[in-house]
Amino acid sequence: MKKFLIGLGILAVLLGGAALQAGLSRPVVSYDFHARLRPDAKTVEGRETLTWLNDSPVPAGELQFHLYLNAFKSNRSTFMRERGDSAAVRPADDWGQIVIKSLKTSDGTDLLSVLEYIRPDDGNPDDQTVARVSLPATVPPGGRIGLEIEFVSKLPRVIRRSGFEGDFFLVGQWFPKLGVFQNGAWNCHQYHAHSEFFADFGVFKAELTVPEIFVVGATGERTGTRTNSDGTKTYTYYQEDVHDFAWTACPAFREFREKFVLDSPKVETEMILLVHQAHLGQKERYARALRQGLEFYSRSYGPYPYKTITLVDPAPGASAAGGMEYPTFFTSLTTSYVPRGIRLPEMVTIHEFGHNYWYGMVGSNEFEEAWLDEGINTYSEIKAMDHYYGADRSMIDFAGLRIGEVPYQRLAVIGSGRFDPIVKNAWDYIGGSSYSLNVYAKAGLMLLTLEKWLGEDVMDKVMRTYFETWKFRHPTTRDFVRVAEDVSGRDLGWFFDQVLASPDKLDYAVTDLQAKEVAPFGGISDEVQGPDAKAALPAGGRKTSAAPKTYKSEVVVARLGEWIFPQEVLVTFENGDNVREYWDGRDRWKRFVYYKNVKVRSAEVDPGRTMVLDVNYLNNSRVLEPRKPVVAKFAAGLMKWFQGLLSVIAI
Amino acid sequence: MNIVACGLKGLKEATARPKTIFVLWLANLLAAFPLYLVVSGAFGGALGASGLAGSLASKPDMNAIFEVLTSASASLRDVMIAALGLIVLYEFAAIFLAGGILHTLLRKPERRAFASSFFSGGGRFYGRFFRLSASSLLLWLPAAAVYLVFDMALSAVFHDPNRELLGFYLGLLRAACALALFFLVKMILDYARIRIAVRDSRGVLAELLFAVRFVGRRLGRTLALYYVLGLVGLAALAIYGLADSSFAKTTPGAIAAGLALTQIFILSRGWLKIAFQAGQMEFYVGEINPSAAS
Repeated sequence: MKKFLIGLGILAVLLGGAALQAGLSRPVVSYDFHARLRPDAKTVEGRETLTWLNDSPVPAGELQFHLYLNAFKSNRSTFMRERGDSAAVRPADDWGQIVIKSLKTSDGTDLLSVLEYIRPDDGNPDDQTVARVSLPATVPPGGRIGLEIEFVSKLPRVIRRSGFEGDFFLVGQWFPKLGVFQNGAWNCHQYHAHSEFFADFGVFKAELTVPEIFVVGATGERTGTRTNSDGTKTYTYYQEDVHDFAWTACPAFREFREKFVLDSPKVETEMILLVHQAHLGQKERYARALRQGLEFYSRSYGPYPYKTITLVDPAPGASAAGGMEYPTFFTSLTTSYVPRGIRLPEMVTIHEFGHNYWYGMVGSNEFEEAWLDEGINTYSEIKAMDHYYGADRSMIDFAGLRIGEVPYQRLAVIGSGRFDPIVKNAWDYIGGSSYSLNVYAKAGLMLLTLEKWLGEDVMDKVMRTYFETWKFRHPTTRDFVRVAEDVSGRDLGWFFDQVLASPDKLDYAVTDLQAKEVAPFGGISDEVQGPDAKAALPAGGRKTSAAPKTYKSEVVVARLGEWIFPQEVLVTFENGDNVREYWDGRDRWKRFVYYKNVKVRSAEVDPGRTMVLDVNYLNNSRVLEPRKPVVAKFAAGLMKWFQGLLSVIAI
Repeated sequence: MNIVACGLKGLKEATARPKTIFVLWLANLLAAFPLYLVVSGAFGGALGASGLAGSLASKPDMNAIFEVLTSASASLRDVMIAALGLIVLYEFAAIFLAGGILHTLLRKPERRAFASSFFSGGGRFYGRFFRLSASSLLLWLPAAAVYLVFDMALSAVFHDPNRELLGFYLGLLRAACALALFFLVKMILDYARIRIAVRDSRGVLAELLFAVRFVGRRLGRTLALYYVLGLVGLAALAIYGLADSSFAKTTPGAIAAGLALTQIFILSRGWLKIAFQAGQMEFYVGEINPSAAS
């Protein structure tokens, strides 16, 4: 048996190697689904043929599965408790779960009897989102095991990434999905309120049967359809080099297909837009944003390699299903009326499409290092939105109001507390908002700061190299840092150690700026001694009219935050002369003193706005003569508005 | 009574009372000016000394304003508290001003002793108008109830989440309903004040109820008069909005011109306030005692 298993393992490695050459990823898993949607019961009856390759050097004696839909089984699940929904009263139909009816190895050995739920993250006995089965025989390194699983998934009313609303179905996280066997152990976390996912790459095939009136979309390429005699229709899908499979069905979808072709780099893919009939007016906005996403990410990081990309527009009332990514398939978000200058559909479309790179192809572990997906993707999204819509108006350009993405993201960081660092297990943050601001906004701005520090060209190369090196693999934060250091040729440990591991803040300021006229020499001069000395001294220190004035100008810059960042200080004098000073930023403050015949006019720390993470731009600069007109206008503007308000509200 | 004639009469009466307009403007300015000082004090140090002020020098850059507001959130809180306090004070002052306006309207325009007429009127009616304001809860609460019923009825009839565009229009309809109720209550209070002033009545509650009946029996015409004059206000607002947008620069001249323009607008608001009172008084007198109407 052992020899057989070893032989099987060698064969598997050889086959795997062949697959590696043929495909883009090393296929660790292979799923073959047969699923039927029962719209009335809100269920999916599924059969799954699963093959797993032990791609590690350690034998595996058990398998661990994600059973994500059990997060919605009761108000006691870890997901519900973390959301604060433990007291939630929901109609019976709103709950969801996954029930495994049968679990056998491909040779027919029953495993259902040894299935047990485990809670590796929090020990919550009521959580059933991870299950373990002990295997009758270990799977050796390079060995494979096949499983046959039958299950029924009851979909919840849309709640975070999957579910139903009316006759709209987003079928995500719906099947028993293997964890990742890494370093001799399973990496298989429970479903948390504020985390996303992690899985191995492989091949996914699916036969999806739905009532004939439903329009269907799914991960991958549609390879066939057939109409059945019972009034249903079966769609088949196939996709390699992905690590998840989701699908959607709704009779009110209108399907639009459009070829997207890019010459450099070479990209040829089919955009599939499933737009709800209530949102048909938004179709062109979706399409344009998706084209922009394909173009920007392909040119910036690497060509989009898949044959399809499917955009799903959630039905009205199903916004909880919006803004979610799955490989080659994502949900965007809009409503029937969104003014053109409010760029919600564009931002969500570009962001969710972008996950195909940083979650889809670069298989980051979102449970443990969510920033590797969300943070990098926020950075990419900001770059794309600024590129296509203008940095000062990339979020909103409506009725004279213009707001860019960077100020918008900075708002969250400026107002945040000092609770959590960027890198942390997703369920260990003090709350959902701390998770979001750290892994999205702060991480995105951290990369923008790095870009300005390294230069855009170098940063572009860092990002391209990271994508090229780690696509279809599972990188960690360490791998990103290593790529950044290798490409830039700099030691960046000082930067990443602070911004990734500490919850502190970055704030440098010009805290003092002054200029004083230097009094002429007074006292006893060493140069003129003896009886003539008195005559040689300026009487009482009085100035002589011929002598040019000298000013002592002082600039004090200070580190008000905890993070240390080398600083450039631009000092400008009244005659327009500039002095650029460099400070290592380590001490709490630094004084620069100048003796010149003109006064200092202004001083600015970080004049190039390198530190996008700086939580207060207002104190970054100081002028000797305060700009009273600006303050006056600011105050007058508010007063004018207030005068108008008073004239209306008086009862 | 002819609604247009009442409206025109109101505008004419208001035009004939520049001193009253001036007092209303001055009261508005005095109530708002402390906010200027508070804002200057709160933001002056940080913003004026900062180079970031340069971003705001030429145009109202929302991204820079974002930075100012978020970086000085404690100052913003101070400004909000000050604004709320000033609103409360102005409400008290407005009660006095309403008495002054009506008292001058009851006399020949500006013939003599304007100050004596205006301020004695403000003092004379203050207690009664104050009680009227307190009693107005009897109108505000039913108005809120009507709004809630309207809101619930809309939600019950149109609860299909699939019809998002309809939801958007229903939102507009809700806002319109809230505004209409707000102005309706204000209008009823106007007639109550007019009646108290004309009859020198001390029965505030009785006059309030009378005003409700008066407006209820002539709802179309009272609303028509109110909105005819309201249109004049909207026109003034539109002209002000267009003109104000051309004073975006921060040169002292531009700031002064912008402020001056605002003061002209506030003067026009005062003029309109008097026109409302005078037009509604004309209508009221004409309805109650047609022979007394001019």
